[in-house]
Amino acid sequence: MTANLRYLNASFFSFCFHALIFLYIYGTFDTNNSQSLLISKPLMVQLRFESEIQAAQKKIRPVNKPPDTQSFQQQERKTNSSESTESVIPVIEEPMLYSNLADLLEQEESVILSEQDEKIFFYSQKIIQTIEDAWMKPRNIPEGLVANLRLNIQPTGRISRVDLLKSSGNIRFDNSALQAVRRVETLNFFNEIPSGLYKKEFTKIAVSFKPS
Amino acid sequence: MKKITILTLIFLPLACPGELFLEITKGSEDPFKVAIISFEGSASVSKKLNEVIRNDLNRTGEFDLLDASLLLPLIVEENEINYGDWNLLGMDYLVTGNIINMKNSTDVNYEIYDIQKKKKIRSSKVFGLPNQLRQLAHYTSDGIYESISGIKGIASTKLLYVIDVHSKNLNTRYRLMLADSDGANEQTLLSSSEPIISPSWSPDGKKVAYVSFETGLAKVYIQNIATGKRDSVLSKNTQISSPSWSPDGKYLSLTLYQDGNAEIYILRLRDQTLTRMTNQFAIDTESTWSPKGNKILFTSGRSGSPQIYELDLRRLNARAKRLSFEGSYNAKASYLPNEEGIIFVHRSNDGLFHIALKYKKENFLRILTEAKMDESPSVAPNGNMVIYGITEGDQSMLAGFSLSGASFKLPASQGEVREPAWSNFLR
Repeated sequence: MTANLRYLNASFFSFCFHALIFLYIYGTFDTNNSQSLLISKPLMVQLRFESEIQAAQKKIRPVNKPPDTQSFQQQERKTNSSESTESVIPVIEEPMLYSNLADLLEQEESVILSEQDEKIFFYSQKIIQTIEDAWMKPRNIPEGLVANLRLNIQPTGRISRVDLLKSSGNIRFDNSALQAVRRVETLNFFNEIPSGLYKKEFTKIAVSFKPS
Repeated sequence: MKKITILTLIFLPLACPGELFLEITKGSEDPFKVAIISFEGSASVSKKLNEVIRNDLNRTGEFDLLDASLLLPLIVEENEINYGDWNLLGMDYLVTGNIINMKNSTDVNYEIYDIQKKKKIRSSKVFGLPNQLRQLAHYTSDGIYESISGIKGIASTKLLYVIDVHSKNLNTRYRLMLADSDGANEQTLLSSSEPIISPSWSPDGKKVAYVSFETGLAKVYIQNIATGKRDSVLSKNTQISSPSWSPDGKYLSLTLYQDGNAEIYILRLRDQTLTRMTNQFAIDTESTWSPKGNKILFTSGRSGSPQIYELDLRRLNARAKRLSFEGSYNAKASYLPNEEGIIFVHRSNDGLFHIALKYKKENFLRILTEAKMDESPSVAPNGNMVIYGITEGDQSMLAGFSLSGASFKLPASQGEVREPAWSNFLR
């Protein structure tokens, strides 16, 4: 009986130990994952966002006085109704715009809020642009693949380390993403970034590869 | 042509007459840039070995090798590597190695360095008998390919195919051939005056199954490659064709014609038990197994034209699910190794036959080849390459491509080459 208990204990510890290893590899303890929000929004989609944010900015600015939620909701409804009456043609795009409107407002608010955030947005776009230019999507891969990478970037802009956070499940696709980052090697506009901002936001960034 | 044995071939140069010869026709879009410093060793072996390794890596289409003539064949010590210089040359990886030729064994040591990470990523040793130099080179290139691309290499795998040799007195000889994946080391497994079709590998690579018409009827035979011993499968007085081995090697799926038309059966090899899998007025044939062994693909005419169907073997009385909906001819299907898609022959609207790929999650197919009469594709075990038959003029030969966009040809020196079958990994 004692012997059995010992085995039981041993197997329990072994289980815990292996579970820990598994969780570690899986990335559960990786606090940096949360930070991925910044740029891991799908590359292509974010590019489309930009124009929409500008459009939203234009619309909202004049009514930007009271932080009153009711009027805000009304405003939102107004834009809804006005837009649906205005535009007849782009029926398909509208639901996407509305569902994202709240997010866009939020994002847009934060962009206006501080100059720093504007800068973050600006440099993020630059990083995305640079990596997109270097990326060659492999041929004959299934649609809908997503691979997430994390880059460690030195103050000089040199990418010192690349980790695959989430594999797409297709080795060739993962390779193409890693290869793209490899080709970029150095983000040469990093010396323009204020060192405070760099330390806060750009030492580690996550990038999501998601062809549209 | 005289029958050439392997032993004599080993000592012949790469493209000796009678042997298949490789042609790289296209590279992929974003290859890894790799510098291979010629492996140092005694002159008798090193030239050949270096050549085979370079050819293997070129054929993958995923490597851009630095021109060997630009490199001095020097042994680079790890601490002497100037990563900055290699980086300036635009290299992603550096490979160095040497060959130690002893009386009873030949050793190949090689190292792979990641230029950007500035460190060694692999240090390996391959050894074998001195007369297995090609095999050594294939293992080495597979190791290099795998550690750089993350995908298992297929240079050390083998091919089966059939050659029809037409002689002047109009007697055609049919030969079942075995060769390395680069077409070298050609070996005749069977020579017959009657047609041989549908060669198929056992999953362990030790046996082959094929259809021979030597008795007048189509019959399936299993032949042991090493011993040459062959046995007929099933002693039924009916036509039997298109054998395909289950991934565990215990079953053979077959097409039998005993019910008035072609139907698919599964044969348990241990006790010769036959189980009928299809029951249709139309033709059902060309079955192949899924990599996990729980499904089979087959071609059926039940919709009025040949189309590809999938049958789940785990469910009793499961209905076959149609997978191909494009065009009026889709046939000879096989799975990619991860089962995410199928490769098959598709007749396009212009009446030409192409090799096509269809992913399970997509509702369209991708046409992968451009010739006129492409036939019988066979997928490499790493799922990254496909070999198939083409017809150029009135000559049929083998060609291959990788999903990443590279392509190559294996022009035959003689005869009509057809129906290639790619082996599993052989280690």
